[in-house]
Amino acid sequence: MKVGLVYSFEDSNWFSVTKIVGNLIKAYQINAPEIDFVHINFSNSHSNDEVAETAKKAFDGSLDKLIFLDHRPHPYSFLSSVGPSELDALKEIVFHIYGDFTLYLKLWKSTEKLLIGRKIKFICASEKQAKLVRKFTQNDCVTTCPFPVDDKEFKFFNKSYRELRSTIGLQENDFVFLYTGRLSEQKKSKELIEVFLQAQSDKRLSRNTKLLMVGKFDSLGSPYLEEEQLLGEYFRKTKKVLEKFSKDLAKNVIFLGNIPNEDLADYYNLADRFISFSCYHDEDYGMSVAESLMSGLPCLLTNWAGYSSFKLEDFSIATKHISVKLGEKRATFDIEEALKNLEDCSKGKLNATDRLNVAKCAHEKLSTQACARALKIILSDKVDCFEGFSKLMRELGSVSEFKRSPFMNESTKTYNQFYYRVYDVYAE
Amino acid sequence: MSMLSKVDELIESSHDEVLMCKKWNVFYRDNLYKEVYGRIWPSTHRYYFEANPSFLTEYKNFADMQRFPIIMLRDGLITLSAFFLSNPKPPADLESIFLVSKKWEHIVPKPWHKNVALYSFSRPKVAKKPKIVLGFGIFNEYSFWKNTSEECFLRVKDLIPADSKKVFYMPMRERSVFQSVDESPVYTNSLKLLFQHFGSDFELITNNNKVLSTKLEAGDAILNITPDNLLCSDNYLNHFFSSKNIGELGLEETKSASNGRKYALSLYHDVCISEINSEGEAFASMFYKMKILNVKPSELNPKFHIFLKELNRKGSLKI
Repeated sequence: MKVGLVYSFEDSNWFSVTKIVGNLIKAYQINAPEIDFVHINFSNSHSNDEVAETAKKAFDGSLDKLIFLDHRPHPYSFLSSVGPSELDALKEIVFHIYGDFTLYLKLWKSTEKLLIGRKIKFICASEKQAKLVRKFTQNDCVTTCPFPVDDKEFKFFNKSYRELRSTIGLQENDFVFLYTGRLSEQKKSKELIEVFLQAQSDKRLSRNTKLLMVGKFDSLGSPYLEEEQLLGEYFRKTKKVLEKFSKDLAKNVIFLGNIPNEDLADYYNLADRFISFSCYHDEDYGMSVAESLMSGLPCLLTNWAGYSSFKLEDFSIATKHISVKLGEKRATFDIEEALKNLEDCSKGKLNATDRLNVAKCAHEKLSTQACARALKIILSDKVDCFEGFSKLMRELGSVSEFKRSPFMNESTKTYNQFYYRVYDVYAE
Repeated sequence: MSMLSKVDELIESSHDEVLMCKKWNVFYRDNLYKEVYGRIWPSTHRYYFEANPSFLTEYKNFADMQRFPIIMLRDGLITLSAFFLSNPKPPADLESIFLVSKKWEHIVPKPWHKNVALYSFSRPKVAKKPKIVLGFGIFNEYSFWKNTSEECFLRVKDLIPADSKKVFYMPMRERSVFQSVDESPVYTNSLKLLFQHFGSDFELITNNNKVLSTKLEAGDAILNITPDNLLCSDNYLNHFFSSKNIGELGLEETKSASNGRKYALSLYHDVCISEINSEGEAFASMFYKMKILNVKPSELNPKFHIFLKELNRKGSLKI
């Protein structure tokens, strides 16, 4: 069997996507000697002619299946460069769906005519995202498989981190909450810091509880509500939150900035619990959560979108979730529940055996090998022909043809009815 | 209350209504400078700080300025000197505080001292052996008053380690920054010097947007080829790269004044605000010569530009 893997050979601007694509390629290639993989470079820097040339070349040797691994560019320009007879000859077209699915509704709508009547599979990385994508399709051609984590990179090391802890000013008995990722309005990192410091101020957390923030500040704001930010705006706003509390308390939040990917595993290992209160629409999965669990680090998360999928059935203490509800301007997490969970988590460090168990359970579900098994099953599953996108896609696809923010009520700058129709499943 | 305490209070108590970035009705005083700043974008791109970093041309008049209790002027010599020479005394009812680049302390008239404080930046340390060095600049006449382009490029050659990968951002503009001035000789000479010093051993970026997506990491460095540009004293690119912990080659370390206050703009760089110390003699001399020569102090007046250039050439105006 000959399978075309379509992705950009250039690194994505989003580091997590570069990692995901690399790990997906590994997962497809594991235990698949019977498959001849053809790697097809489909990049944003290619002109229309180059895309057409790439598509033509890829189909010269006749392909059985085509798998889109990357999130950009949108598959439309590639598929529209391929002749109908070549598309007919494909047994299946598979799309890995990312968090930006709803940003490209116009292009998905345009792609519809190329997909109808053909065998199509949409693979989402989490159950809630699959639910969301199903709203846009007439028949069920949506399935789930987590984005894989390389277990050679992320595992439980079971060693002392006294030295690394001391280099960043941590004592051996400190309880360390760790956040990794963008420090961003979208990720609610400011709110995370505020809740953490509030818990300390209320004496619900002891003074030897620390919050380690790893990652760089961004200024992306909330594009859905056309709330743009300037360089430094989110940093300064975060600084103001820190200044609301005494210096003595504020120093328990430690910013490490961006650290090299190869050092991340050490930070997951030295910490006691991963924490993220993100309620962002792109949170279709949570690569840093998956990496934490693979490193044996339990998590405290919002029960939102992809985060909800991180429940290890065999080891329920590994993840705790905080309720989220959709608001007029943003999804919000339950602050009292967050405070209580912070307090509860800080009281119980997992011992080495428990952490090893967390890592083992995560390995069974999230590792490249585990995902390779899941993908093999998905590829062998039968699927009915694609009947087209739903009415919701046609409505929203049309709106996004002339509006940058189809989910915004322009007069009140709050979310409109489409937002609640689409994203209600993320907060369930 | 001291000037710095006042500044501190204004920055700490800042809210949406007094934030320039929330201002929706921007009246540009004149279209020419709106275009000029557009043409040297991204150097002039907006960034966030509660002291409202902005350019004089973004305010219609003093009444417009009064809406903001504190304004950090990113202007260079041309617009800043035109402003002070046209308004040697602040209006009696002006309460706004202006932050002026420490570089231009000497052109602030004495009567303005009660309304002015100075700013400078402390920025990340530069990596000892940067893997990549990104050189950027504004390649027109207004960058080479202090040092010639030959001197500027010699400095660049001396500063960049031989084994660093070199990337240069030299934007090709459809039009000159000032349409009345043909800046192509300055631009082509700069290109010529670049090839002369580095052969073909560099990557050239000519597209404005691409410079912001250049992938640099903490072990890399930047280098401002034209640090003495007179149109903008506070370059956005410095903030953009400082926020990523990228240091600048050849940057003299900023010694913050002992009485200064520091405000973090990112995890890696701060703005330092200090009191003004100059006695304003340079301004007095400039004002006197302007009156003698009967030059209209306006950034729109080409003769005023020539006047400033002559003052600098004769050594009576420090840049």
